[in-house]
Amino acid sequence: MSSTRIACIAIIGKNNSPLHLSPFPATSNTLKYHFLTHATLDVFQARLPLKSNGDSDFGLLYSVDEGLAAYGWLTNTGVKIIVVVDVGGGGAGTPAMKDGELKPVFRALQTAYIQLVCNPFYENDEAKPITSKRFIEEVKRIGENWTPGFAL
Amino acid sequence: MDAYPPELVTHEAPLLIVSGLGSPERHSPPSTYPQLEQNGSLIACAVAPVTTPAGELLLDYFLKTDCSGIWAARPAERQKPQTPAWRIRAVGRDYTLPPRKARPPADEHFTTPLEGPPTRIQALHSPISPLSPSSPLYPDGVLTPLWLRKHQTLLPAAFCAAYELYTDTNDGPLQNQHDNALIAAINHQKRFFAPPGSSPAAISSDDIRSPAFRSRFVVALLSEKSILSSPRIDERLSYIKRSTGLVPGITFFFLPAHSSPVEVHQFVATLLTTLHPHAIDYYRELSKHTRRKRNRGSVPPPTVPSSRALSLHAWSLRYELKLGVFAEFRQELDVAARSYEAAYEKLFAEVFETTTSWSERWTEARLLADTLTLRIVRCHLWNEQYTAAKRRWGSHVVQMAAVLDRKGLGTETYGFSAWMARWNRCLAELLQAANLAVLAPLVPPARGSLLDVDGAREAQALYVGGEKGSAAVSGGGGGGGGVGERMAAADYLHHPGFYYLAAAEHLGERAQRGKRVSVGAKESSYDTYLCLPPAEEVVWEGEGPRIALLGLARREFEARGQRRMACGVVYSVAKLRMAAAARSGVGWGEALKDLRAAAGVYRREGWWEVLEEVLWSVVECGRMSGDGGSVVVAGLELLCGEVFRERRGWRYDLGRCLEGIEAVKVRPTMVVRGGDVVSFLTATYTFSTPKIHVGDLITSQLSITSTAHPSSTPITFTELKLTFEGPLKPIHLHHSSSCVPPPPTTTSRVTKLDLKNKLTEQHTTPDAPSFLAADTDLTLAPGETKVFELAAVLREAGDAKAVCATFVFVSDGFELDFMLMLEADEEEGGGGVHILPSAAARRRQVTANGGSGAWWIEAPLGAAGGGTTELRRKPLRAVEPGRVEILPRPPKMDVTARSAVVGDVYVNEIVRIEFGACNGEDEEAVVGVEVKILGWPGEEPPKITWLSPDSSAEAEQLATTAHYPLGRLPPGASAKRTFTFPSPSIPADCAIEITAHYHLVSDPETPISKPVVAEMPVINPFRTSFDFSPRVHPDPWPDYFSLPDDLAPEQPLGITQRWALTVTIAAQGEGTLLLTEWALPVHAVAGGIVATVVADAAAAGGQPKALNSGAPATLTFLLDVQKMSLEDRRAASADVALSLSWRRTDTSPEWPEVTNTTLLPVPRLPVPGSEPRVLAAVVSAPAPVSPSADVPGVLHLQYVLENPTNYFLTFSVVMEASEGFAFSGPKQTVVQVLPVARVALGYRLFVYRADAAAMGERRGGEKGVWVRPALRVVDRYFNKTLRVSPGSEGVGLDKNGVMVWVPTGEVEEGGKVVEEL
Repeated sequence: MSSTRIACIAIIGKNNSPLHLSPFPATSNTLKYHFLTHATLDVFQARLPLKSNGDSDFGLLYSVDEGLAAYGWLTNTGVKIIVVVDVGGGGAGTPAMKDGELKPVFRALQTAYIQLVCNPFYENDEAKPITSKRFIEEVKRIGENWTPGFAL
Repeated sequence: MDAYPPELVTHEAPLLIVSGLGSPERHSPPSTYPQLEQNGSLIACAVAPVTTPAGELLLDYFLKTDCSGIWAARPAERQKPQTPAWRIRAVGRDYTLPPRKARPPADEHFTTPLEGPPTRIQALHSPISPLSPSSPLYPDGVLTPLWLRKHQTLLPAAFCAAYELYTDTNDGPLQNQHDNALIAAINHQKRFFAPPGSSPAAISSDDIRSPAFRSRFVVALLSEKSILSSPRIDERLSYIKRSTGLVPGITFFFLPAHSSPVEVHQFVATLLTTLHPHAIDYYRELSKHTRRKRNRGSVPPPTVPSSRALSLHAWSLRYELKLGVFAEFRQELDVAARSYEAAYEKLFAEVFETTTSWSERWTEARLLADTLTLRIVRCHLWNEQYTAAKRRWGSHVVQMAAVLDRKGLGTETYGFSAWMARWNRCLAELLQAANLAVLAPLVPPARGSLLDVDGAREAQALYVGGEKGSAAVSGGGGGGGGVGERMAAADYLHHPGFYYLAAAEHLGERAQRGKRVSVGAKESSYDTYLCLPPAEEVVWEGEGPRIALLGLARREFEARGQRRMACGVVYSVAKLRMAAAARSGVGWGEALKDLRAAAGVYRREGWWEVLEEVLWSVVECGRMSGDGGSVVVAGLELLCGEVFRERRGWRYDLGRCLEGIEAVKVRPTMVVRGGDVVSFLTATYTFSTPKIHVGDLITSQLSITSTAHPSSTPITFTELKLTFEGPLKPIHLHHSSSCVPPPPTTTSRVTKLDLKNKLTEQHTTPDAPSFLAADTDLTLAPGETKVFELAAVLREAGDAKAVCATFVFVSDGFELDFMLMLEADEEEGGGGVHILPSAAARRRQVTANGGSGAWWIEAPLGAAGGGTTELRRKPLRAVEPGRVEILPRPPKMDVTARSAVVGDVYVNEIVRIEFGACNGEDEEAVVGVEVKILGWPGEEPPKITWLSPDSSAEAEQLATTAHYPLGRLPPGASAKRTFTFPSPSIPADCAIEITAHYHLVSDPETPISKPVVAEMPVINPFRTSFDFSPRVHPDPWPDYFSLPDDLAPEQPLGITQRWALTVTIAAQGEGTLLLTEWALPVHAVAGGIVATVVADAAAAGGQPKALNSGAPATLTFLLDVQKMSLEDRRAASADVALSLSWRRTDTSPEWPEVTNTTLLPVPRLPVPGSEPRVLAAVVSAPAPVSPSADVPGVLHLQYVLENPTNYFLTFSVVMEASEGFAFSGPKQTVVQVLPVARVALGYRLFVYRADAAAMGERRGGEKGVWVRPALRVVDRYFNKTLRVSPGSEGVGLDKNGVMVWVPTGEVEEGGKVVEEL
């Protein structure tokens, strides 16, 4: 029985173009997660008009095939952060995640993104993927180290 | 759910059998049931079925309500359902009810060698009981679908027999005969069913001899004719009712003739509603019966003893299951769920543990387990326990997997994948059947509807769950339920699309696993539960079912607005189609269509990695299907190196991308818009300047850059067409191999090709619009930038914009027109493509003006370069470098205008202006001149007089705004003309605009104009002030005592008074004016006077006076005023004007001197009436009253007392002493003046010294001092003081009285004298 872990972290730009996507472990099928995260944009689009309280957390977007669940976060600049969680086969024995347990993950990712954008040499035009090593390392650290109940 | 026996998964509803209605082909198909024909109870009836239209209509309505609305009628908020749900089967007149008991078995069945002689039959059971030897369950099966079939299709809760009343004739005996037959038939049928209200014991008895079924028997009677045409109907009906013992409205229903569809529907609804409580009772009785059997706690005795038998637990599992089913019949789904749960637990605890996994019973148990779970899930859905439903569904997977791992063949088999696929699909189908409102696709509210606002507040729900109490209904297994349990993501019930998708994925897994099956394997070594045996599985092609599932999923996603999700599904479908097509060779086209649709979505949002995958698939599909166009376009896109990875081993050569594809039959010709595809080419077009004139040469640069993969072959375009908006001609660049330059020595990736002088004008056909063309090198290597410098002569004015660059690529295999928009907004991905990194980078390089244009210049490389040059980008300031504003041809005519005078123009002057034009054009021009005066006071502008150039011809007078033809001017020649016009007579702020209109002789169509504008303020030339004061008339007054003899009637007889008008005049403008003549014509007089201007000696023959603003001049006019009559004492007035002739002193010598005459208005001059007055006058000559000799500094002052009245007047005169002067003369005296006479008093004044304070300067720079001699003259009779008025030059008046001017020179002298003395 495998434990709950992060399967993929994706940063999507304001215009729905992917800025960064890293699957965990890094060798797994990137394309699958590309399709998966792209499809979550539908949910952002559908729920966005109803988000009036300024809450960034979109919570569970949906879960697919018992194992993967996509959670979303929207920054106030329109950048979307999507974390796909592998709940480990979806068995009844897997400890389910608490509501809002991913919030620290999203916050850490948003902080990393803010640090990236604050760099005056970063060209924030959403035309190409993020290449900052520091940012990618940070995402990797978050993605690999997180377990439910783990403080980042 | 199709894989399961339909009976197991059907949603239960009370069964109603409608008998004898409609034609046989509309009846429900007969159900099979063991021993039905041999042992069942046949309800036979001789009466023909009702097949009239009314009967068919009634049957229609019965069948329409069949099972419909089970979910719609679901009690919301635990309320009673609105209309009861029924399962309705139509059967013929004869109907067989299923047998209660099986036939006693034939002996040979049970004679086994081991058991010896046949045993005694202990008890008979139902033909489907595991105890009956003939049953399929015998000896240890748990439950057969037949049992469910019995209740679902054979054994009704109510039996409705339909008959028709005989109304063919009104023949009474015949009717009676038919009625009696009807009654007999009804009574026969009625026997099979227990009468209403009979004791429940009848059904609980297992006695075969109690034949009555508890089903309610009702009769529906139809009538063909109404009571009007068949009057005995009522009577006959009551007779039938009486004879059959049926109760109207409860067991007897009559449908009158000619009932409308609504009435028929109502009839059916009433019938069903009436029967429903009974149906509930019926199934409740069955439940009770089952519960009793369960509570007995023992296995019933078998018909024949057997060594294998169902255990007690299995029996109670049977009973629980039956209880659940009966509860479901009653729509008490919460009760049903509990029974099913109990059955499920027993199934796992008992049956799976004791059954061997390869036996048929194992498969049956699995079927039962699956269907039980489905029923439980359905119950939860019914009760809105979504999370519970989802968990129950999931826990069954875990349970099954555990059981299979432990006892079966594990979960790594294709059979398990197939089961998982089916299991997901079942959930999706269940959800679709349930059509839950919470998951239903949102229908966008109609535009403008009031619900618009509310509708927008609700987002499409993709999943539901998390409701209260859901945790309590947790499935068995590890995850124990408890309040406050965490919700896993998978616990949310998603919409069916997700489950169809998952099913498709599991099918894919199944196909993969199926491929690994070894062909010769034994069937028993594979899990073949509800799927193919291994031999067939190997060749099973899963694409079809998967595409079908994905299609279902796609529909669900699209209905809920999940476009991107649907797009991903479409891509999966395309991949499957490709896999299928690879085997069958057909279907590439459909796959290509799907791929292209999917590519659009990813292209728009910049998901390059995904798009790359899709495009490679497009290439493959295109190659296989023979769609060369798709291959070329996808190949074109994949060339883009900045977003796509380079594929190893792929030959990136656009020109040869169709080589070796036999499937391409037709040579494709394509037009591709740059905004629709990911382009490896970027083109920018820049004009060197944003504004330019017609006739000038505009230089522009087209720079094209390739971002193709480094390994790709350089691409050579055949032609490059540039199109413009506005008056620019298209430019066509053709590739010519002769133009290819030698390989560059530098490593620079930028090449500049100068085509400025190579563009020639060409026509395709004589009528077609012309274009500019040039031959050049159109080969573009990867990463290279080519800059084409172009030049064109502009012919027309207007705004021009570079719109589009079309790259024409012609190869052996295809022809491609690639249109790249050059406009900035097009480029920024407003269309179907997300912005590319290079475009974004270009956008960042903005100048301060917001433009991003650059101009490539050749700059020396510096010292290291050794004199070579390199190309550099120089930022352009223009915001839109691709746009140029073409201004009209600028006039090259030099136009000058020179006024004759410097400075301001005066009123009433003749203005002379010299106009000059010099032709700066290259050719002869025809010129005309137009003069406009702006701000002219008054309506009519003045006429312009053009002086002829050689002064021989006469001057030409033209109205303003009229053209004065200047004639032809050869290049470089100039012409001068002079024109004059009178300036206005009142001051005004004018401006003069002189415009030279001309056109070139070669181009008469293009008018050109060159204006010159000058300000022309018109002002008054003079500044004037007036002083009007009386004077002492030198002539004697007329004699009082004599009259002239020749008294003409018109001759004035009054006293002549002299007045002086002193005009102080100065020039207003800057220049000096020469005043040559001045006069004071009298316009009018009033008050009976005659006014004559006495010619001033100084003025008349005087020298011209020079006037400028600094030095005012004085003009004095003497006016003699004489009353016509002596008696006339009225006040009078005179209106005069000042006429001045003047000329400028500052005109240039070449201009003739012009004397202008200005008439200045003078305020009206008042002449008071005839009253006594005193005038003080300085006289130069010694007064006759002064006998003394001349004393220097002595001023002679004469006071003249005039009495023009007819009275004798006495004045007392006092001269007051003053500190300023001494005087001689009468200090105090009395003067008597006769009527019409005057008296002069002489005084000599000696001024002591100059009082510094009183010192002043009089006009003309004369120094002196004013003294104030105060003479008081009082009329003694009237005691009235007479004012003294000044009467000569040198006497002034202010508020304190009369002042006398004493020139200081004399005073100083005199002062000296005094001191010396």
